[in-house]
Amino acid sequence: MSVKPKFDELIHAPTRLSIVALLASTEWADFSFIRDSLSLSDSALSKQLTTLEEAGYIDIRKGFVGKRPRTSARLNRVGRAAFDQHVAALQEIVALSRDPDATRPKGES
Amino acid sequence: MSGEIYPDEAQRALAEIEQRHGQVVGLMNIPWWYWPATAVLQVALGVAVDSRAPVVLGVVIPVYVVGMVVVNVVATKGSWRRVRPRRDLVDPIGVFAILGLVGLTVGGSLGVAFSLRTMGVAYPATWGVSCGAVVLIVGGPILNRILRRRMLQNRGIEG
Repeated sequence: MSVKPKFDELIHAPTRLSIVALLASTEWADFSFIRDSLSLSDSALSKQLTTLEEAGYIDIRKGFVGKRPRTSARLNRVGRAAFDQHVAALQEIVALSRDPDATRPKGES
Repeated sequence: MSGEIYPDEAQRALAEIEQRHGQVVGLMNIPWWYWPATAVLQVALGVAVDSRAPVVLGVVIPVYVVGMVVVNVVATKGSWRRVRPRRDLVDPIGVFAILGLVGLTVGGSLGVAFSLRTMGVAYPATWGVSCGAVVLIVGGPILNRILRRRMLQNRGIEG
């Protein structure tokens, strides 16, 4: 099934793009894993995760491992679809720059 | 909206996505020592079986079981506790590659061992598992490379 390209401003912001790209390859990821992987502060990551959660792109799960609080995030179906469409849009932009006729319907001049 | 994005910016964004994907794939790498460690444990088990000494079997079998558990736990420790990579990163070809190595190792070991026993060769189990060990040591890193390549190609993005 092909994905309809759709550029997503919310995902495209650099930090959020990195977060979503990381989550796109995972079932779920721990808050500390995302923070360490992207070299973000706790507050910066919290802010971005909240933005993505409010957009309905990710689910945040809060729990405890022993007595320690543990937060993890996962890209949900809506977020994954938006990410796939965003990637398709980026690929289309690159393809068009290389071959302007790449995505034009056949017969169109 | 996308008309405002220059191709080089789109290219950079795609590169960032690839890098993050590669980061997750990297977590699934099986360490190099996993294969020889597993092979050594298997050969030890084969030698114990050939010894037919209850005491040797009584010692080696628990060592084998504990050793396998430790090797597998250590090989998958670390970031795996903090992140779970997508299951579909390993595509059917990757699954076939895994099953192929397992089949070749087990089938090769049993095939050689039973053939040698039929021929009356001494220490058939040891020779059998030694063949399996060689398959593991040679095939393990090849399997690693196949899986890594497949997972890097498979971002799980439809289209």
